[in-house]
Formats: sequence, structure tokens, C-alpha cells
Amino acid sequence: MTEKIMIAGSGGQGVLMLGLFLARVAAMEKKNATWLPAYGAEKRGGFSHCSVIISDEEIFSPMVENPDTLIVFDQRAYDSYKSRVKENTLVIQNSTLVKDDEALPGKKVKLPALEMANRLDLAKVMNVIMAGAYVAAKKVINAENAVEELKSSLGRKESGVIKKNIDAFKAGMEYAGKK
Amino acid sequence: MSGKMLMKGNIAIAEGAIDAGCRFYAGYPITPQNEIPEYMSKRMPEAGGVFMQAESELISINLVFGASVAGARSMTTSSSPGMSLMQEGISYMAGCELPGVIVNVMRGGPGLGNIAPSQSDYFQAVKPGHGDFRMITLAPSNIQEMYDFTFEAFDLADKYRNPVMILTDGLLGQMMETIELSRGRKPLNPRPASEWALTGAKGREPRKILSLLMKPGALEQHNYDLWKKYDEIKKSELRYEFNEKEKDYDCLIVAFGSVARTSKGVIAEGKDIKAALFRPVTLWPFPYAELREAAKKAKKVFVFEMNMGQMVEDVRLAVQDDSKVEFYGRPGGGLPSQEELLSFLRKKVK
Amino acid sequence: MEKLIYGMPESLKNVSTTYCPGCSHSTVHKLIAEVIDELKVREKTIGVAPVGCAVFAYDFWNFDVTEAAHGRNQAVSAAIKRVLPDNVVFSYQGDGDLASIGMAETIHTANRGENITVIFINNTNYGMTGGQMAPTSLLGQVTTTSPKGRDAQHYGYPIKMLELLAPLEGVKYLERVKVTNAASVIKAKKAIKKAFENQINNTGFSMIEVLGSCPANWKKEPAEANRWVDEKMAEFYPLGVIKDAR
Repeated sequence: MTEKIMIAGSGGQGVLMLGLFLARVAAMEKKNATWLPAYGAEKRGGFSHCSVIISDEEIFSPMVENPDTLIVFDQRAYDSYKSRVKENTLVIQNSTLVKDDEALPGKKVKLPALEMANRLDLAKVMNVIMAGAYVAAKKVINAENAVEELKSSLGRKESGVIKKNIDAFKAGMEYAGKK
Repeated sequence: MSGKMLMKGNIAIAEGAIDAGCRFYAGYPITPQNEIPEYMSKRMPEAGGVFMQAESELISINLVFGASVAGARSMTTSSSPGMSLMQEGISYMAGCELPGVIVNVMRGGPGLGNIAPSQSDYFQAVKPGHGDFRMITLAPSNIQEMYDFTFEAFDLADKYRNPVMILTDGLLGQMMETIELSRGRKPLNPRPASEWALTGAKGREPRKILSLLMKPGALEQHNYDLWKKYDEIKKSELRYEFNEKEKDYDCLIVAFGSVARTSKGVIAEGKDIKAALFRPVTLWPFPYAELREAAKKAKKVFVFEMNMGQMVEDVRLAVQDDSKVEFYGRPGGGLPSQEELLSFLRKKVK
Repeated sequence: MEKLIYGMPESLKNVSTTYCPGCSHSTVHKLIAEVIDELKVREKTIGVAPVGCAVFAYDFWNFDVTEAAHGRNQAVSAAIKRVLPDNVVFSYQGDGDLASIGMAETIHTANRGENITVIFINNTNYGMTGGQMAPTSLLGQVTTTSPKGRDAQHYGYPIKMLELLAPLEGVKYLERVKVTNAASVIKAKKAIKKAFENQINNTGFSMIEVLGSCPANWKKEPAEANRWVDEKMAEFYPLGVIKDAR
């Protein structure tokens, strides 16, 4: 099993953290994982992007060129990477900020992650909602482990924030599970 | 900490150093290696060592020089432009036979260049500084090796009383990967600093550490002595990765560092081509004889680098048949993708 | 009964130095050796010798000494002291080393307030390389690279290192001395001793500037060279304590 994930959006949306989260859960599950951010000047404000690979085998280049899964947070990210989408690519798109595009191949999960986050009264959990959708749509990493990682990464945050994050993750899972 | 964990390359270097008993670190900010001084500023005092933020890379390397004079296992890290500033100090360390670990997380050049990954300092690493000296250069290819090689670099530096370089790049520095830390592994300390370091002439004759040898013939002799040491290193410390099982190949790919891992992907993906990877792990000493042997069976030898052709010169020296050697490289921070390398390979093989 | 009141300091090796007649280095070497003996720290002293005439100091001093690259003495000294805080570490430098190529190292070591002792020999030229102009050369001074004399418009002004360092918080003790006669030598020794004592007492960064004589490159007889220090150098570089913030 080798799963190549490309995650793209804008600075502040939690793109890099989402990638890190998925890689950490994979590490917890004793899988091999890589996480490669776009770094430096790019990371300030503008475009944000990272590659994650999860595998049972040795991982070669950490750069993802042809993703098995593309997770896009906004229209600019979508436009930049839609050419990478093939018939069997899973696309998880934040439909609040990405216009629907019937012409694109691939299996799609469209979820209004920003709206859902606002409903939870915490815009910052948008990436956690996207994570939940990914875990449900592609069973590469285990949902319970993901919740565990979520808890441990939020460690010292107040309990209300932790609960909102877990709710967000579950909301994402449910939404993707229904589709 | 044990078991599988996700770690950033730069942090793995810092952890490898701490675990190897590095107790002095000096560094100056430069992307893409900033995580190392940041992390060391917290971790080094915890480990009972000294962290210093230098005011330039010149000061960094000379702080390392001083710490080494005093017998501490010491390290500095930087990226390409900073490494140019350190060349003077590295030469002095080699001349004075002082151990020390120097890490270059390479970025694009020349000049200020950019902050993207590059392998354009290969020449500078294997042909360093002024004067006739050599420096063991290790090129990790994954995050596990960033940790392991840094750990081992301290033993090598002490064993030969010589600077050792970890030559890596922004890709390996910035990426995270699952690794297993071998906590509890003991550094060997093959040649304790107490035998030569300056700690005060208590109960012994005063010691001096120097690289100026003005008496007729003295410097020539010093160089012969250094070369005796370098010859020993060539014999004992040569490292390379070559899968002996892959006897059935007609293409041999030679690559180091991050390009080597991409090359493994090229071989895995390009099932239509019978290819094998030869990866020099020590760039100095370079595995000339071993590569020559491996290249004999190959119709073509492909060299992939993130520069316009540096290691390829050593490959040509090894292969001794220019018509066999094909080079593909990208300079200035260009990252050759697996697809790109595979299509080059296919084009040349057909 | 005979009583030995003056002899060879233990911190000096029983060898002749290689310095030119009239050069101040040998005098200052001896003063440092005497101070180290008097403070009983020879066995824990580590000296850092400069690139320049005094590079061979390790052949004359009878304690541990390392070389450093040109200008980098204070970086090397600071790291040694950080690693071995109980040892006594001093940097011995000339004006080309300390005030020109090593300016950044000097300023930052001073500003960090490193607990080391710096002995700075200012003889207004690059001695070992044959008497070229230094940042400390006086206006009008003829050197091999200022053949018509140093003029400010072309070469800039001579630099006063102690006055430059004085405002830095990390700097605790600065004094300028000379060694042209018995009285000034005694004064110089006191200053040097204070700079070492400061380190032993963890006071912080101390630097003593010695106005040094360089008869060979100045093309003067030793006595005449000393007069030049007394009259010309001391006029521009005022003697005495520049800062005492202990």
C-alpha cells in the first residue's frame, strides 16, 4: 500500500497541519510516512501546499506528482492542481470555496468545510473537518487513531477547544461517509 | 523516545548530534536550516552543553574551532552561502587536526541564490577550502540517515581528528519522515580529547595546537602525515549503497542524497528498463574502484544531480569510459521529478 | 644568605624569543607570564595566539596555547572559556588582527560580555607582513601601503578600539598602557593583572591595549621608537583606564 496525498490551499487554512496530522497518525500505526511542505517565502500569506506519502514500503521521492488523493481548500489551489487529477484520484474539496466542476474526472467528496466550521463557531477547525472527510473516504488510516492523535496534539488546549476539534473531525467523517 | 516517530530532517540532525555527545553548538540563521539552531537553543542546555548564536558563519566555525580545542564534541550547521564563509575555518581545523562536525543543508546558488533544495556544493565539500586537505563527507538520503550519519560523524571526526561534513539539502532538511531513534546507542569516542585537547598544563607538558609550520620541510612533512591519515580513511571509511542482488542490469544510475531516493523510485516505476542504483554515501572518500566494477556490466551509466554536473566528474574518473556516461541535472533549486528522470532514462536507452 | 628576588617566570620557556630588538612583544609576553605565575593559574591557562608577529608565542609561553585564524582569536577564546569555564583563557592580538580583520569578532565577543581577558598590542602597523598600514596607523604615518603618509581623505582615520568598545554593556574593564620605560612597564603589569583577576572573579570582558613599539617597520632605532610611542602614539591614544565597570 502506498498512498500519495497532495494538500493545497492558502496560508492560515491549516494545510500544512492537516498533512502533518495524517503523517503522524500513519507513524502511530507503524507505517512509513513523509511530509514535505512548500517552505520559505511561499509560506507567508499566499499559497500553501504540502505532500504526504503513507506506505508500508520504502518511500522514494517525498514529492507527490500524481496524487492518489488531492485535498483542496480553495479555488486557487484547485485550479493549480486539477490537471493532476486522473480517473482514480480521490478529490476532497472545500465546496464553500471551490466551485463545482463536473468536467473533472476522479471520485469527489465535496463538503462545505468552511460553513461547517463556522457552524461549530471555530473557523480554525476547517482542516480538521477535511481530515475527517479524508479518513472516512479513504480508509488508509484508522479513525480511532486519528482521534487519539488529535487529542494528543491539542494536549494543553482547554477542553472546549478539544471537544470542538473532535466534533469537527466526526462531522467531516459523517459528511463523507454519507456520500 | 523510541519506536517509530515522525521527524523533520533538520531536527534529526540535531538529535543525532545530542545523542552522539555533541556538547557545543554554534550557528547563524540561514534558510533552510533554521530549525537546527532553534532546536539546539533549547535542547543543548538541557543536555548540559553550550549553545551559542554566532554573529556570522565566520564566528560559528571559529567558535567550533575553539570548542574543539577545549575538547568538546562540537558542531555547526549552515546552508550554501554560509558554508562559503566557513571554508577558512574548516581549513584551519584540518591543518590543526581538530575534530568537528559541519552540516551543509544546501540551497540554490550561486550568490544568494534561492532557498530551494540543491546539490550545488558537491565540489566545495569534496574539494574544500585552501590548502591540500580532505574532509570526510557523508550524504544522507533519508531522515533516518540524517540522524544516524550525524551520530556517526562525531566518532569519525574524533577517530581521525578531522572535520567531517554532512552534505544534505533543503528537501531532506525540511521534509518529515518516520524514523526510529536508537537511544541508548553509545558513541565510541575512539580517541578521547583528553589525549590532545587544551585543558591547562596540569601535570603534563604544555600543549600547542597550530597549523603554521615555517621550518623548512616541516609543512611538507605535515602534509605527508595528513595524507597518511587520508589514505587510512579511504581504506576504512568508504561507504556506498549498491544492491548486489540486482545483478541483472544494463543501466546503472549513480546519484547521492535526495536524488538517490528519487532514483530508487525511477527504478521501481520503470520496470521496462533493467536499471540498478549505485549510491555513493561517502562523497569523499569516493568509491571509485567499486563504481568502476559496477559500471563494467552496464551499457550506460546515468548520473542524476541537482546541479549542472559535479559528482559526474568523479563518476567519469571511476568509469573511465566517457561514451557510457549520461548526465541529467537541474541547477538553481530545480527538483528533478521521478517522471522527469524516468523519461530521460527511457529516451536515452531507446 | 642569598635571596632570589628576580628570575625567569615559570610561565616562560627558557628560550630566546624571535622578536626584533626593541619590539614590545617580548616585554608583554614576560608581563603576562609573571601575572599568571603570581595568580598561580599556569596549569589552567589557555592562551590564544594571533596570526602576526606573536603567532609563535606558544614557543615562548610555558602553558597551553592554540593558534587561531587571522582575526578569529576572540571567537576561539570565547568558545574555549564556555566549554571550560574554570580555566583561564586569554586572547593575545595585534592591531591588524583585532581592529581590522577581526573587528566583528572583537565587537561581538565584547558585547556578549565573554568572561575572557584580551591583551591587545597596538603598534600601528602589520608587523609580520612587512609594515603595511593598519586601521590604527596614525595620520601622516608612512607605511609600505601609505608611502606618502596616511591621509584621512584617502585612508580614513585611525581607530581607537577601547573608546569604541567602552559603551558596550558587556565590557567591564578597559585600560591603555605602554611599555617604554620601567615605570610604564610596572603600570602595564598592574593593568594586565587586573584584567586576569577580573576573569578569575567572573567580572567579565576585560581588554588591555598596549601601545607597542615596532622599530624595524617604523625604521627607527629602538630608543627613538619608544620616544615616538611616548610622544606621538600616546598623544592620539590616551593612556589610562578607559572603563572600569566592575
